[in-house]
Amino acid sequence: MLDNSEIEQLSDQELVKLTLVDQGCFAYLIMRYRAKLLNYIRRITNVRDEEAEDILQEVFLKTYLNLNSFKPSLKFSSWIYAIAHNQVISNFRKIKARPEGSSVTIDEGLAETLAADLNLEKAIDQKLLAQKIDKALQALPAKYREILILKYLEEKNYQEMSDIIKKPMGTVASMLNKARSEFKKVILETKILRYDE
Amino acid sequence: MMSDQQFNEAVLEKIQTDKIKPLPKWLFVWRNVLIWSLGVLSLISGSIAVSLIIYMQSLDEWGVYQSMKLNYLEMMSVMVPIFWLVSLALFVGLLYYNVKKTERGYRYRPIYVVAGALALSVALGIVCHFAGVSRWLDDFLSERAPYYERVMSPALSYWSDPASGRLIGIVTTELIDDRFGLLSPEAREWEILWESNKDRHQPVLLPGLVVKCLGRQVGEGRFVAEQVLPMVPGRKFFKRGQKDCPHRQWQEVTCSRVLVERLGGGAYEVRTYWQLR
Repeated sequence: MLDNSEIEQLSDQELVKLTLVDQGCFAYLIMRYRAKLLNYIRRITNVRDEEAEDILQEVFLKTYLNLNSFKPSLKFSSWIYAIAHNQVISNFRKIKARPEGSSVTIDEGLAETLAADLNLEKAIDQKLLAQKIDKALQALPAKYREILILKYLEEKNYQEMSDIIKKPMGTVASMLNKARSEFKKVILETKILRYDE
Repeated sequence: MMSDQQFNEAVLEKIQTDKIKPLPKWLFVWRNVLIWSLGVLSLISGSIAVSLIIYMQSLDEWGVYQSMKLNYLEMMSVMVPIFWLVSLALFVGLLYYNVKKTERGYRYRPIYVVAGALALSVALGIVCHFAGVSRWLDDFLSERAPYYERVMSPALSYWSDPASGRLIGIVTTELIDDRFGLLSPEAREWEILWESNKDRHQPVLLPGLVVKCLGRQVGEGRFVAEQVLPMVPGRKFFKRGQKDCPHRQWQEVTCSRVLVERLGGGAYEVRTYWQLR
């Protein structure tokens, strides 16, 4: 039997194999992805914490149920993010409306990356910048908000984004461009932030 | 909000109380096999549709219809095998759907998937045509498929209109003194007078051949033919009522060619070259 520190050293793929033999090992996968997926769900849905947790629980149950369908040719993180993405869509379909909830917390460092990439003003307090970006993101249509979140807040590359939202990389790139311009439009219209010349 | 520990326990407890187990691997393998099989089936069906489209155009009768002075729409309705084109579109759509349902299908742009599915169907369709699949299938369908003459081969209905100068049927007697017998799809006997054949390349008219006659009806069961053309696609349609006509033999045109020459002043010369099996 492996001890805790040895298990923690294992890759995701190895943990999946172990989980198929020993159900208890699934706890390590949950620990690795709980915080990341919870943030992702909250960011793309804007639901309350309790609701996000319910969605996340469903995500892990589906992950466990479909463990045998996981192919090592895909990154485990992309695979589990794709399950989360689908679960969110299915939840929206069930309630047939986008729920309103609390605001999303955006990591200040990441907010700065996004601001730099979109030429947003830099002379602003980091915390305030994160709040303003969050406000602008909330005003975007869900598909554009999600693609920006995947790129700038979840820091996924094009291949990973393609595997998560199940769209070709070319489509991901054009969606991202469109999302950037929509984001700029929201910022200009609402005057939340200014652009650097 | 639950702590990490509480959340972990809640998920694992739910797995245990609901007795959730990972779905077996074979289920995913079978799902993949099913998707790929349906994809291959759609590809084969699309190819068959393509081969039948090619087969139906194999006589290259545009010239004949031009000589009949049909307008473009009429020509399209007779010549274009809409049923098979729609089938092709449907099977390409199904193939696209199946490719998209495969594990990596989402990575390809829809336009490339559709173009690839169409190109594969056309390539395989050409192979099927030259391998004789289209001919065999058209014979099979024309002999057995319901509504064949209206749905799959609209030319058959179009040519079954003696009052408008178009008659189709199976030759029942040899050509003697420019006359031969013909049995139309409604099992009606006709006497065909074909005077104008003297100046033309003479087709071999033997009982059992399926022909299209262009001319005019001159009385009850009598028809004057100006042109007599071979019929290849849909020919076995005439085998359906064969039991009722014990005298009828069956002749097959294995190769036929229709040459249309523009004579000027809107006139055309139509020559047919037939070869019997």
